[in-house]
Amino acid sequence: MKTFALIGNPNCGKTTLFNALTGSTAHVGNWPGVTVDKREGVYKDGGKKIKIVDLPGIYSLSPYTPEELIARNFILSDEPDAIVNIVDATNLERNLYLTTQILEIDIPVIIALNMMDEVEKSGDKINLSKLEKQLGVPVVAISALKGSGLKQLMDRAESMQNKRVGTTILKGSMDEHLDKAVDFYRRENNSSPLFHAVKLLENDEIELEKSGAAEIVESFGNVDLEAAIADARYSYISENLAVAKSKENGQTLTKSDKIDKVLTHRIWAIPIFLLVLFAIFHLTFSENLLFLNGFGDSTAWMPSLVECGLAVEEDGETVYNNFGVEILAVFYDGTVYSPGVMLTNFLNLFLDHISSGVVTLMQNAGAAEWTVGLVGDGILGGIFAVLGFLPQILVLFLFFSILEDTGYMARIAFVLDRIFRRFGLSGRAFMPMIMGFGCSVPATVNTRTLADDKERTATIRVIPFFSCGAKLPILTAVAGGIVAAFGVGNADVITFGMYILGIAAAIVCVLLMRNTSLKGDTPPFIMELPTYRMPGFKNLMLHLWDKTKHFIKKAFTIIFASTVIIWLLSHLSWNWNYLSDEEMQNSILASLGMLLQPLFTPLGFGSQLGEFGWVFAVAVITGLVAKENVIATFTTLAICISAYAGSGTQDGVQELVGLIDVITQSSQVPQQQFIAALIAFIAFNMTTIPCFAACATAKSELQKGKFKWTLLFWLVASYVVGAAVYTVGSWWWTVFIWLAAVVAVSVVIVLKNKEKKK
Amino acid sequence: MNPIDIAVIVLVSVAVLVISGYLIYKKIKGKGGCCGCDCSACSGCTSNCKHDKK
Repeated sequence: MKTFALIGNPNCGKTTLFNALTGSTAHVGNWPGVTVDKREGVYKDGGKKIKIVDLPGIYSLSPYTPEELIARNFILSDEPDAIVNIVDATNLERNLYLTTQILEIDIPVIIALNMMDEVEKSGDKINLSKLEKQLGVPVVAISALKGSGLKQLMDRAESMQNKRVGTTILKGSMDEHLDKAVDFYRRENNSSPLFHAVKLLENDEIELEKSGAAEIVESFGNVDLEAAIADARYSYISENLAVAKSKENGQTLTKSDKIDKVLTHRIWAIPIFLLVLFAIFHLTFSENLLFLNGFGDSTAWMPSLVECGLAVEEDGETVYNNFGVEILAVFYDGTVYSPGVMLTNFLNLFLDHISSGVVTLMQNAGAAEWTVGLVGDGILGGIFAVLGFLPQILVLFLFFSILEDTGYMARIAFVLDRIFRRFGLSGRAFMPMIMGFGCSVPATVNTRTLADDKERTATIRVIPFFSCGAKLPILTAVAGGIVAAFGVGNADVITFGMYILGIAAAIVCVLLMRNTSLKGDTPPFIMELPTYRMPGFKNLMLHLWDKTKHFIKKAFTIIFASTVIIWLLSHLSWNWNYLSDEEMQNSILASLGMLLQPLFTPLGFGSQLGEFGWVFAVAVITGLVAKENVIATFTTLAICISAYAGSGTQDGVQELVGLIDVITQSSQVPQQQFIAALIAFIAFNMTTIPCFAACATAKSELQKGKFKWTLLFWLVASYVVGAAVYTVGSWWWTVFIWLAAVVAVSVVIVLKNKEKKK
Repeated sequence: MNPIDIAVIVLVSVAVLVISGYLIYKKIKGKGGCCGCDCSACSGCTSNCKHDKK
């Protein structure tokens, strides 16, 4: 089977073309650097099959970052049968810089001129035959997004000759040097001697490592050939190749430029970004859409369903008059819900009916109390509690995907560069961080786009602070629990605040690391801003489908196994005797939890929460396997505990409220301290050691020996953040103690750095 | 013991064993992709990817 490699500049549409050719659903986004590893697929046309390899985007074949090295190594070591060079037709001049380097390799090349539909839309024209003649290789116009020209591209690529000798546009002054270098590589029996020779002239580090190469360079004398070559390439492109493009309209400002004038404004860009972020959180989590019901209890005017006579309160539970009212409660109950909450309510209604149906069936069939408990409280309670958050996770990621696909995220990276730079990071680090809102695993892999190792390590360490989808149920459930149990705050404001806290913690930690253990210069940030595009419906749905698939798979594997183990351990004594809900305090899990409980006392959710406080300790530990486990653990245990205390609602996400009630009654912990402890619990989980998968990825991406320090960093950072939130939330004046500590640490660092400089 | 109880014990035990076996098999065989998150949205997790070990 033949192998074709897709190569081109970042964000030129390689992965879109890869997906279109192979039927894959690889992640694509409207920003440079989405692909950081090679991936393979098969193109099928009738009986013929061709292996397609998608490579990370590169601007030149002189690699600076790990993912650029992957692209170069594949082309030179694996020697594909043909190179398909994807060129963004809307940005011809810059894209052809890489083309002039690819042509120097002894492999057949075909140019896929992508986004031709956009060129035509803007009124410009590209003379394909002129370009083909100048480059000496086939040029095919395509639109990877619309799927046009793909068959022609593959047919022409397949019909190309198997052998090709590299050609270069470098002529004249450097001929003598070039010939000398080519001879050297020919003597060494290297494939693509011309390519290697040009790289040697450019003082390429990889070429200089070859024995005898340094001597060749020395023989050229003290001339800056690297700059001369870059200059020669651009001159050739503008004189011979870019002329193939003719502009019909003389408009200088494109639509993207006009939008950028507002969205990347020096002053307004960041407030606009924060506003956009808040709007997203409001539409996902708010139980008071657009603040229609006022800004607090004093201004609330909408009647609840109970006040309307459509439902009644029985033992703290709302019982609706009929199923129609139950459906109405999905959208409205004394306030209009946001789309995210509506969808969550709807799914929970469905899951609650399944759960109660199964329990009733089992009870009617005469099943034992413990079997009903295992299935109802343990398995269904745990899994459904986590699944119930899926709609909100999907709504949040739909918004993030829209921001990504429109090209707005890339602008934010550019805008934030100014701020990030002050903390020792470049704006480029923002993209993996924002990916961290989805999942820390791909975000950590994406840090390969960062050239500086120290910057990369600092970024990997703070990625878990950007709350991922798995942590979202913790935020939503605990924030919802606070609002429902204590009647204070708004769930969306608390959730938004926690996300901001995560970002703030990341900034402080980066600042600390870049001034101490990971000191170094911040590399310059150069990023091409993509054109604003309407997000594609198919791509958005693919993003969501991936998320849903991953979440459901996890719920029925890891979460299922965990809830069964948690339920068993909480209902078995050390003598392996079955314990009822009332005796749970004597279980294996409770005794282990009680052993760990004091560790969390400085964070507010330790010994001060009394006899049931161990649930928090257990939830933290189970969360290390997968963060969804935190809420699954809470739910499984809370149902039993609140049923024991006689105040449980047994109503889906309300289990946490039941647990809060029980702890408040049994431990007499003051309300303000309990709220602070719950927020500290969220903060701790957001910043502590991430799940096993994220740890494994961080270990493989970090340099040898750095992982153990990273684990320690996560533990210390989460402990400090949790303690700060708890103490400040409980006793406001402790803010001064924390500030004094920050100032003292800063002074020590500044003095130490000054000393070192001397 | 009620047949329902026996059925629940058997089903839950089998399910936990199958899931544990599947997770261990995935880890050993590396089927979950190189990083083990098994999330197809991430390019680091295709079945063919190989990490460039430092």
